[in-house]
Amino acid sequence: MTAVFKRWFHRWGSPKWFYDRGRRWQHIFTFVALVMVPLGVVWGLAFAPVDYQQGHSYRIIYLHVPAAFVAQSCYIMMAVAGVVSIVWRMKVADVVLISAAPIGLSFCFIALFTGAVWGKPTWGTWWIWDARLTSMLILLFLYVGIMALYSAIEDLAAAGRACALLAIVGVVNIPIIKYSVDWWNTLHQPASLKLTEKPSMPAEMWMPLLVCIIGFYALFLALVFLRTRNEIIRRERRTLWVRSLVAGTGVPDANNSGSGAQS
Amino acid sequence: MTFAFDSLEAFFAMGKHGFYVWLSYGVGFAVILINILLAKRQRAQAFEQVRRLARLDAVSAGGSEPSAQGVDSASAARDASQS
Repeated sequence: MTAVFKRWFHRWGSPKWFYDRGRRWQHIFTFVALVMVPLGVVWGLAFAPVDYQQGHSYRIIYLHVPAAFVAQSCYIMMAVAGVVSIVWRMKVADVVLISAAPIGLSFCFIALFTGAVWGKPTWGTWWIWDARLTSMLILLFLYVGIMALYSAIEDLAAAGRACALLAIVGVVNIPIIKYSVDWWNTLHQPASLKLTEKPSMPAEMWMPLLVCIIGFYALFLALVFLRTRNEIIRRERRTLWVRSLVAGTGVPDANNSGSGAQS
Repeated sequence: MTFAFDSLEAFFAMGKHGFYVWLSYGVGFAVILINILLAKRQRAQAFEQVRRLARLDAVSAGGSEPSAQGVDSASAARDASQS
């Protein structure tokens, strides 16, 4: 078992393997996202029943909650990549970490923005220094910090190590975000969906939410694969396999990412 | 599963909350679209970088196109400084 895992781990640590095998995963996740995101969003916006307290403004949940889930999961993934980078000195882990940062930043921004717009009709204010909102804002700053740190250090190995450390240290913020609604009783409502309990909303409401969550995770993973594979091309540009890959494709086709990879 | 609104107008109005709902979804999907476009541009740029390197190698190996050499070595220097 451990031998199988070791082999798997070792293989995905190779830039060429990640580029070649990642292509199929990228396409699978792209397909899932293209099906699930429109399905979940249309379902949630047009067919889910209206909320008796909040009216139709609650429909923002179908964008807000998936974005917030992805923003936090992305950070945890980056911290895990940081541990792999520091312990095993795996180059691909550095690439994954820095490639995921702008995506996590985007989803974190979406969560904060939709939350503010939702807060206005529901709480009467765009922003309040509530524990959940503040800890999410810190997550946004962590993403910005990691990207700034990366671009400030010229040497790739040093930049990778610095970003890995920052990602690992910052992960302390994630449980604070998660439990903020339980520890401090403020404006933000507690979780609507929990793995261990029955949802606090009817099935007609949470089913489209689940579809949206799956769709946005797939979208996130597709983008991580795409960005990581791009950065692998850039970093490995002096190697023979990248040269022949690019020579084989002619004009780069962003839709059909590197068909020469299979040859 | 039934349409939760009486009419299409009611759907766009979202009760009294049309502005908030559509602002959220508009900005949210704009950010996602920008993400996708930037990732695709990054891909095109990475491929272009490799192609530029290959052209430089072809010039220095064959000694042809001496007029292009100045441009290529300048871009190669820029390229090297990025790595």
